[in-house]
Amino acid sequence: MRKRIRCVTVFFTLLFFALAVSACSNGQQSKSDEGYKSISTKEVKDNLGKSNWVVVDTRENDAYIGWKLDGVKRGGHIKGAVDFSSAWLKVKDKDKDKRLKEALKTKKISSEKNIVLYAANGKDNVEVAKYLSKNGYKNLYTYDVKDWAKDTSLPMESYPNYQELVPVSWVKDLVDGKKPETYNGGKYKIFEVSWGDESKSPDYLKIGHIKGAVHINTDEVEEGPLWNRLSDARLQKFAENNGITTDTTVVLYGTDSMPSFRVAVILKYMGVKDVRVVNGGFTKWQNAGYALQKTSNPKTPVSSFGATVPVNKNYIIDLPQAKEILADKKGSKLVDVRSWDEYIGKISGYDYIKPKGRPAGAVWGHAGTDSSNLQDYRNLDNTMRNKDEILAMWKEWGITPDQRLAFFCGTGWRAAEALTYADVMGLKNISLYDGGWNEWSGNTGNAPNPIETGDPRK
Amino acid sequence: MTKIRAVFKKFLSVVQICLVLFSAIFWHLSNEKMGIMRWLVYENERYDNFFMRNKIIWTLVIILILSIAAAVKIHRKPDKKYILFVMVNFIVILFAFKFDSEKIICYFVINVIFIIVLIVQLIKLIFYWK
Repeated sequence: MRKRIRCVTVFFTLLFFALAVSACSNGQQSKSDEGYKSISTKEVKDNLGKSNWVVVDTRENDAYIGWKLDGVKRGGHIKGAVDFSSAWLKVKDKDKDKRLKEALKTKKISSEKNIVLYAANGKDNVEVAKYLSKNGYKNLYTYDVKDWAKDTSLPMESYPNYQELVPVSWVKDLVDGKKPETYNGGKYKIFEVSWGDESKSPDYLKIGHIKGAVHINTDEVEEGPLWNRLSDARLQKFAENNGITTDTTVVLYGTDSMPSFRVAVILKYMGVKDVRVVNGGFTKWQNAGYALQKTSNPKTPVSSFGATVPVNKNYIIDLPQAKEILADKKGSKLVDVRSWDEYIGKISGYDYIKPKGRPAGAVWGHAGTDSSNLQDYRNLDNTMRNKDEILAMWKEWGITPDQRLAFFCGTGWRAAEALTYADVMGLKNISLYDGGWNEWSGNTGNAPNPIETGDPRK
Repeated sequence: MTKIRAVFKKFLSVVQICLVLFSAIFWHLSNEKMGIMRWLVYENERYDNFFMRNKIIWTLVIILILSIAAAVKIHRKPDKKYILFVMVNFIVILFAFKFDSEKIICYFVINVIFIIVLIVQLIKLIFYWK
């Protein structure tokens, strides 16, 4: 009897072991069946730039633009690689599938090509590979970008001023008292920016905020009915009241990043040397699962800003300079960062702006579906769109990086974001036309200026 | 006929309640929504150019005079309702005097709503006197 029990026990143990081994080997088989073959650095190098190959960076956009993340020795992306972040696949958006397909098309990631998907954590590229396989893509290869970054002779590319857009891991390190990349170790301030006082913020007290973050109401820097920036003296007071000096490292974020960009541009105009905006906004912080603080943090004023505002006077321009730019047809462009319907004069885009149209001679810089969206400049996860794609979009309208460019929208929020991206891309002669359409159109009782409507290409 | 009159009176009362509720909701939204706040700033600028505040105050004063005149001429012996109405009218005038569009962003909207409510109340008091 005991012998029989022993035999049965041994039999079942062996059976269990065999099943486990078989399951494991099946797993390996299915992985290879899915076609995720890895590829060597030499093969990537040899095929980079060939028309039937495409190299795709699947990491967070922050890594693509220049940050050293996940232990990669050099920041940025493999020169010639396009971006298709696995983070985009996790976004909740009703137009997600449509936008992902559009992104694949724009980046020329097509099923007939050999597609190298690289990452640094071994996960991002597999997630994208799974998505592509599901959509009928076959020739997929995985690659670890750490191998590429190790060899300094292999080219990698970062955006010239990528440090202006920070990843949430950078902010976390800052809050934890570490010294993250490009941080000078001086005083820093983190601000959550949105319209209204902190009780009206969509997240500051309701969901929570980054530890130590102070709320900035956009009404602290601009005033109606024109919604231009405040006077220089009042801006200086705003900075002092918020404890900001020219040497403070200022980190700005919000659920919607547009107000952060608006404040960032004003701070740069004022003379703050180190202004950063969280790439992708507050959602990225939440998705990372970092801790949130729910109590209000008071403003801690300083006695002096450290300079007379404005230090960078030409970073924000007004009506006379906007006219100058329009007069210089060859070397300058007044770039309209509003939706197409606003540009052609079909709608004004705002309840409080009545006239429709655009400043005569302004070129279309793209924007989004309406006055509160900027999809043409953003990835699906609200991070900055690929620089080459932004430049290509501008090129259609004769906007080139060597020109003097002034960006405007209705009241300066969307244009501030476009301007910051231009800054990140390293464009030099750039500014914000603060008054925008609200001022140009004579909406608030000021004298109207020449206006055009319709498609200028017809 | 009496029934129709009664129904119409109730209808007017419902309209008044709706208007008062609307003004409360609008006041709340004007503090909560940036779009509404900016729209009001824009509209206030236009109304200020029309001296709208003065016009509102004068309209309220005229309603007050009319209501007192009606009390004296038509009813001789005004009841509690009438006195309450005159008092409310007076408070609205004080409100219009005390504040402006800088202090309360939806000042004009609220005052216009108050004027409509007071006119409706005046109609009710004149035509539904028992």
